[in-house]
Amino acid sequence: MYVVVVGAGQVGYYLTKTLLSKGYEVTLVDWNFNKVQLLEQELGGVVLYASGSSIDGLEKAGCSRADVIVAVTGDDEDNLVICQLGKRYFKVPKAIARINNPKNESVFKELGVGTTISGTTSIADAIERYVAKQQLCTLLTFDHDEMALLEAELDYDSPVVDKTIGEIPLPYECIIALILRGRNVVFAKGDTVLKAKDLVIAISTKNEQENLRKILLGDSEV
Amino acid sequence: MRVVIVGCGRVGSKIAKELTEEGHEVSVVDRNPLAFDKLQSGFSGRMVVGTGIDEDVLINAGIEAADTVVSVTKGDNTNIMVGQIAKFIFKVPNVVVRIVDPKSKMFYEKEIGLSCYCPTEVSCDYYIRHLKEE
Repeated sequence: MYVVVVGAGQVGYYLTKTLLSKGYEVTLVDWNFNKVQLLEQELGGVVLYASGSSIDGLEKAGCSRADVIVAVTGDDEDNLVICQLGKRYFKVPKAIARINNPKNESVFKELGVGTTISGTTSIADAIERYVAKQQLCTLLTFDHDEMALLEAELDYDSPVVDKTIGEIPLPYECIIALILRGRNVVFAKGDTVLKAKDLVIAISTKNEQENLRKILLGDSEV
Repeated sequence: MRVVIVGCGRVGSKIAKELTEEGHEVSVVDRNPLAFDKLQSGFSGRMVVGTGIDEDVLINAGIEAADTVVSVTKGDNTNIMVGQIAKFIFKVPNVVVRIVDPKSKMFYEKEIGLSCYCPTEVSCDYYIRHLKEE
């Protein structure tokens, strides 16, 4: 498996070392000469001095035979071009882009670069998951982010505590799948009664998420 | 015409001034507020500080109602991204971007369908023609 990594910042550097230690063939491309010289001392021929967002540079990096191209520069516009050239010009089967501005996730998707990783979003999600209460936490999204697997912890003042699932006026595009109660897993049925401190696992369309949040956690704004 | 110009360098500011004088509705976007100094004080168009690859900045500049977007920042990749956001996300009918690298320009014109202007090609043609005439 041959991986071309573009952008020798912290992410590119550690990613390259990780991939090498897993036995992948890697080329790390950057157009900062000083950076490349420094990294060459440690990583040797793996590092290539070239412009990773130009056809010539990617050609030099051997993109035509790459299995994966990963764009991890600090500039979203560069990462977009790297992935587009990789996919469309060099026909690399898989292109992965790092996204710095989370708002660009949907932009990249619409422009044909569907596989993106946003550090900012990951950290924000982690904060939501571990810190914020009164929130629906997204565990997983699918169907191009249209559907989500969600988790909510019911507090004592939740409007659905002591109600059966059948009594809850759930939106049509929404289903409660599981309840994690202490160490037990309860499969949600119509007659299952919800308790405070239950972790409710639900599946919902994006449109109904806010309604679901209000139903499970109450009306207060987050 | 309602025009959004991204990049207020020599080219962007000149286009902005000329189109405004012709009576078109122009807004100019640049990351650097000092870039707007190139527009004369009488410039009647809109100036928006921000990066052109941010949808909110473009909306602020009126891209939703624009019929023309020109991206002439000094970064090829910025222009490429702005052009695609304008054309494919905001469906602006008339989009043209500057790409200095001729190979990139060829790719984005043929494969992605962007209208591009390549100053490298144009000036090379000029020099070569001029040299041959001497």
